[in-house]
Amino acid sequence: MAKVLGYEYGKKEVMRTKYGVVSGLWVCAESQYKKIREKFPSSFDQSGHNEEVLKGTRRMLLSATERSYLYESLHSKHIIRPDGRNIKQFRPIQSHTGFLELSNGSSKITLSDGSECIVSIKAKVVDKAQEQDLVSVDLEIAGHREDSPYTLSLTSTLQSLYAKHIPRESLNLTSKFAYKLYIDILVIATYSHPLTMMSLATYLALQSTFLPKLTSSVDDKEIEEQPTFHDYEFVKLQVTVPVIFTVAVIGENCIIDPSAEEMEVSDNGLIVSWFDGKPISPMGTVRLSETNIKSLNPALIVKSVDLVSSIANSPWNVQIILS
Amino acid sequence: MDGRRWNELRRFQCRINTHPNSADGSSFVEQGNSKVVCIVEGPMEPPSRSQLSATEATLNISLNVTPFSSIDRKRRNKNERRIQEIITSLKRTFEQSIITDKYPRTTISITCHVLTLDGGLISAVTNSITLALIDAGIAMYDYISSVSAGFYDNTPLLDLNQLEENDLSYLTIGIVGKSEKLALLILENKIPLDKLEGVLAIAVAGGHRIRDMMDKEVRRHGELRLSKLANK
Repeated sequence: MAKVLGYEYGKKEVMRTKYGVVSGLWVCAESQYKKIREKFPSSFDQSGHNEEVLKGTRRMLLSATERSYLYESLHSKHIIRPDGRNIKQFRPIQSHTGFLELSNGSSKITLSDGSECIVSIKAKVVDKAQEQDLVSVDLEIAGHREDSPYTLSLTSTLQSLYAKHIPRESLNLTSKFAYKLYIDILVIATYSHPLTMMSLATYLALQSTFLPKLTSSVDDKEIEEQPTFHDYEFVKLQVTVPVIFTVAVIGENCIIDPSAEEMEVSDNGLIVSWFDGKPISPMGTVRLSETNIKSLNPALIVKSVDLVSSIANSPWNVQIILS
Repeated sequence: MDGRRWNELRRFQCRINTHPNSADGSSFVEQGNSKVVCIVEGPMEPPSRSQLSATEATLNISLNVTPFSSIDRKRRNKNERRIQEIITSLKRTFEQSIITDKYPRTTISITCHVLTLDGGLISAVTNSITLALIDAGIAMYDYISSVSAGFYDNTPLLDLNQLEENDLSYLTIGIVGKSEKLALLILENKIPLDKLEGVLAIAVAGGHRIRDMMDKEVRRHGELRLSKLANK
């Protein structure tokens, strides 16, 4: 009786390499599966989580030789990335904004590997005294359940990021009322780690958000007054928005925006959030690959923050990415 | 309501092969202000044996009405009864129109994302699925084109928007190609029996118009592909 370990369904032997069990080939006999599991427990812990991650990523699979070739070329002093980028370079990004008429702001981002994400911003007038957070993030990833740990952890990362760093003043209406922003993120397809894509799309959507213009008075402390709005004039939302970068660590090297293949061979992953010219929380490690996760040299965290800052602080780069 | 004549369709625009890298077949349909993205994957080996049929393909349809699609933001449960009912009827429709016995032991998974919704949910979704299936190269007997039609004050009305849909009784039909055969008929409230014929008649005529527009897009895309091949 064959046991399916993951998503890919093919009848091949499980191979063992110096990097661990090759994840492309997931079907093996029950007895063999147990043996491998005993031998490489680290590859199988949180197996439920692994399958979750694998579901959305069907093309990540590398053979043993491809894997070792790629690892060597990314590990060496002169990094050669499979698509010829340098360590600071993003993949080409295609974006559209303002295509959803029923939302206050919207954006769509497509990466070169076919990953795609749509963000909608909707605003609602709320009583400031009753609402704690003026930003609410809702995430949906095609192929994942809404209550899956994968989706939930990404949602909480983004929620904490935006709730903390989007200033309340920029959403202020009157002394009583404020706008509450509902950020809905829909990931149609993803092959690499989706955080960068989602945060860039949200950045774009927030930068192209238009809110109805207030016509009633700003000060309603004395008189009970419901805010009223202009019928067709809008005001552009002025906010500074944090952005999250994903960095893959391989040996002593850090590379930005890893593709699915690079994620597969990476030793570890880092997310670095950037806001107002400095790194902020959440910053931490992420699982980019299922098998060979290695511990992280703290010096590399500093190195990757430097890498991100060289990108984020260069206005030229940011414009390229975000225009 | 929006200044159209009774037999006029809303602006209909469609694109196929919108996600060439991430799916086998994909389409984007705009019907008035409703926007639907459809993604088809397959025919592929099913994730679990239990879903496998030895003689024909199994269809997996999921319909995602996004919380930001309506004017007021509203979270919808995936298992909401209305959504489940729509999925069931879509499944029945497309099981009939896809030549399923050509693809034994496989599944075809169809995902629809409704980005904005302004009436005509079922018709926009049906049209987008048809186009995405064509783009995926899955054998079908003919186009299924779909349109809604309502009835108000002794006049039948074609292709209702959300406001009209809220107040009128209406039906949605799916027509097979250029014939007058119906693959899908959904009537969620009541229409007088003697008036039904007139409503169906304009719906069929509207469906044929939509079929022509979808066909035009498919041919345009086909020519584009062909010219690319020829240039190589």
